[in-house]
Amino acid sequence: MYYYIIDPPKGLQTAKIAQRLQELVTPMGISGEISIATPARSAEELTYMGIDKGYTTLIAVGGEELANTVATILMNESREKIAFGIIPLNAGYLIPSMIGVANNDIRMGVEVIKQRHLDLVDLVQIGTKRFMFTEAVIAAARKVKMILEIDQLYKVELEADYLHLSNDLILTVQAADPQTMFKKTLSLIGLNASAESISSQFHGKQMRLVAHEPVPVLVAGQVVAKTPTTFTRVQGALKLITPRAILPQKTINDFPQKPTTRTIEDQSARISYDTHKELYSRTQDQ
Amino acid sequence: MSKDRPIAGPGTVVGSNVVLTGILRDAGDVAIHGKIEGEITSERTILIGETAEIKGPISGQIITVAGFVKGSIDAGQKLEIMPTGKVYGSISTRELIIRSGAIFVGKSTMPVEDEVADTGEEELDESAKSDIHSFDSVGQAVIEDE
Repeated sequence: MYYYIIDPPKGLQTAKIAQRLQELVTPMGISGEISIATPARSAEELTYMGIDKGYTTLIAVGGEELANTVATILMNESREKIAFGIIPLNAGYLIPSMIGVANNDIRMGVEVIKQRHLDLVDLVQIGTKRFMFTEAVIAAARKVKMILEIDQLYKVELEADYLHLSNDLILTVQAADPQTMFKKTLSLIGLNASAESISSQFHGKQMRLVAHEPVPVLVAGQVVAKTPTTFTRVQGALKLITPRAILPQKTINDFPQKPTTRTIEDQSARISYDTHKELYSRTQDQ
Repeated sequence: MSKDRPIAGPGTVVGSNVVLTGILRDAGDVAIHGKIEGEITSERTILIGETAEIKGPISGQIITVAGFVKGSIDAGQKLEIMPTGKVYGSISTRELIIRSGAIFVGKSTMPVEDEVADTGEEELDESAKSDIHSFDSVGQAVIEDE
């Protein structure tokens, strides 16, 4: 049986979404309980309720924050066997790419849920209790000295204000130090062509990040942890409902990117940088 | 430090403002533009950029050096030292290219056991092999490619 949790981002009308969903799921034979998050009953509570009621399929109808919240609860409750579906509403670019459903296209989302094609996707455990299957950023207001330890094999000393982490534990470090910027400027006027490769990329099974000062880790614009913290890759942990012939195990680099002035290898991080820097600024303002 | 298999994945890039210490093992490509003190191992290609400074052994299939390396290099297929490359240490590879302007100080060895076995010719003794296929080079090696 299906359990739908509706928690749309601000600006979308919850009642209309619920009505539309009801109209679509019944004729398609995937009806179930539709619950709506309210200030009195959060999406987290609803997720726990769905698990307690014994539903075998949980569908998050909302944004990236809701999707990661449900995924975290499923992992913490050791309910990996429950199938997890998403109908994305203003969910950014990553989730629609992963599940092959455009933002706010409820009909398409319902059709994919009906197909019930399951794929195992990777998650990243952040600290001890938080999981994410989209992406995270570690963003500071200014450059901070950090030490990154990967798989207990090697240590990386770096100074950065922005790091991007994908769900398969690929860490990209933005590095636009003055020297590099100078080199880039030179390269633009044709005096120096060796200004590429300014960012770093690391991957592994586990990473521990220690910074000289606490730096927030953001998932969907929400602070979920602060350094020092550990990131652990959990392979194939979540049963995600995807359309047939779409591979969910794509990294951020595989998705269509908006054009930027940066080099190809910087593009993925740049997109995220723009998005999350804005979100981070908002968080700071609040 | 664990001795696990190299990590399969998209490869590693060490940026120019990064200092890495320890053992970097990767099943994919590795590009270094920063400083490394330790071992680098890849099952594929390793690129040592102009801004890179490596102190430690390097092992890979195809290795290109445009920066500074102090340590041994073991390239399974090919080693190329670019004009800006500086290598201080012994190297072992099947195919060696040293561009004009590069600096190489050390001993070079080219393993050819398979070729000898394939020809069916009388097998050379160990000392003879060493005489033919190894040479010592001290100072600036200038081997013109053109």
